[in-house]
Amino acid sequence: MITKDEVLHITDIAKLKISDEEISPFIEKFDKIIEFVEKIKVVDTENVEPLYQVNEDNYLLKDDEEDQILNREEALQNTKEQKYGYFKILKVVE
Amino acid sequence: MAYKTIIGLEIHVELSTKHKIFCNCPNEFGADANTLVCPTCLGLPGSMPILDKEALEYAIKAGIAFDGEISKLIKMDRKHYYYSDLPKGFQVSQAEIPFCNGGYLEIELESGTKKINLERIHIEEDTGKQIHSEEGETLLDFNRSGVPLIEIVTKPDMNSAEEAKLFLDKLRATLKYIEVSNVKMEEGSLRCDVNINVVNSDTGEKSNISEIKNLNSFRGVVKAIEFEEKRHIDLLESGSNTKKETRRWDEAKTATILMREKGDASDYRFVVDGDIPPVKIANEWIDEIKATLPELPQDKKTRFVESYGLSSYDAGVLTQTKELSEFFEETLKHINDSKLVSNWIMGDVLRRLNDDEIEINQSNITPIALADLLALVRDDKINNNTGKKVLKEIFDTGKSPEVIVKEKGLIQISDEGEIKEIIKKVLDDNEQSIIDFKNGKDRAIGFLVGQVMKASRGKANPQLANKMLLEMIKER
Repeated sequence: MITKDEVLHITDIAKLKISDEEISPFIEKFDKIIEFVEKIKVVDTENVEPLYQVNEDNYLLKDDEEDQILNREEALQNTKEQKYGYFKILKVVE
Repeated sequence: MAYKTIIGLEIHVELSTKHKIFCNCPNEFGADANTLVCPTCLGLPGSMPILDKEALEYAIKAGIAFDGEISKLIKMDRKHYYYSDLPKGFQVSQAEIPFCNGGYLEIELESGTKKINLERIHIEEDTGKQIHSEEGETLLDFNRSGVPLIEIVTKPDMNSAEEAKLFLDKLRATLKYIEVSNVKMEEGSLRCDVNINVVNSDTGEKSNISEIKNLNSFRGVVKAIEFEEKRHIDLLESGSNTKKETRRWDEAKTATILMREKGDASDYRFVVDGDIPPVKIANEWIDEIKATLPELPQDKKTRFVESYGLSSYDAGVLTQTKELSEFFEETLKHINDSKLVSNWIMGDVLRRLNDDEIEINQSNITPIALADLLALVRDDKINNNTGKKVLKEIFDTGKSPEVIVKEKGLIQISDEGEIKEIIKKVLDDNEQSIIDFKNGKDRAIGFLVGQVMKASRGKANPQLANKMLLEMIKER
């Protein structure tokens, strides 16, 4: 079973807010999902090479000469705040 | 108590491809903010990344140059973390299968050659750039977002700041040789993080590894390592220990400062990037890439030892940069004396370049000028000391050695009559020294030779002056 601490850790690294009341129902649902996904482990994959893409022999690399860019107005059109051509956000402090 | 320092480096290198790694934005440094961007590198939903062939080719070139093993399968993974310079919430990188495993570089120490092994090299995308304004805002520029990077991870094979510096010099030189990066630390096209700890040689007690970031120059790397060495040893000596943490080098404070304690790798939730199909690398393609590589520093070094009869150390230094090695060989075309040329480059030329903190091609000296100067020295037209003065003058003014020698009247006096006159006058003026010499004070002869050289304004052939002085003093 997933613990409360694990839930808090995951929501923290995923930058999600979770209230105390939400934690227990979340654990319940999440355990069910894990239980469901665990079933895949029944399949014997010993000596099977991993497959990352069904279409492995048909890969694509780009080799174009043409530039494709947005102009600055287009690039910034969806931002709420901008300054001197930059996206402006609250100060990030490390 | 004796401590051993253990250093591993992680170096990010921006590849100087025409385009970014997953889109066709130009890959350039220094453009106006957010003018080299598109939906893909802005991390907009629905955009479709496609891996750049040239980026992969450059990465493989580097892998071959370091003698690593190139993976047959290129697979990209997503590394998840939230930071403002990475708006899509993950960085496309390689976790499970790096494109290159192993490899090494050799560094030249006074005690001999040392091999520094690489753990791996992987390819990834660079992030955007943050600028912190005075008014308490952070401004974002995504021109750098999606620039292809390779991350080179070494084994913990270095044991001093000096070794780390030599390794970085060699790494930079190699990447420059194969022309895959501008490798400018000040422009961020080469960035280096340091992992460091110390071991007590008597008890085997170890400090915990610190990771140092924000190093903007090779000098900063050296200073940060020296600072950390002391911090680790002091903590162990006081019965305490360091924490496993990430620290940042503060140039103004000349100290490292805690950034954060290190998270677990699992916090990055690595997962295969389903948008970027894996690529199979054919051996033929690797062979093609190999064929385009120039002579690598390591091979050049071996050739210098064999063809020019240089010591391994000298050959290593002369092949440190492509420019220096070419300068050496170009000079040899004009004066066929590898030992003489090597001695002068290794000595006064490199000393001057170090003092000025420039590369040979940024200086005033040319291979022809050095060759002409050395011909004057070899043919006894000027003596060794005068040669050094002329060299300085070439560096200062860029004039040719002949012009300098003529302007300053530096041609060596090898005419016995002329030297005789000078010695006669010196002896006349220094009777006490003659008495001293006759009383067995050998030092007096050194003083007299000095006076002769001074009177000739450094131009007297020193061997001849010495010999004649000894003869003439005996006659008195």
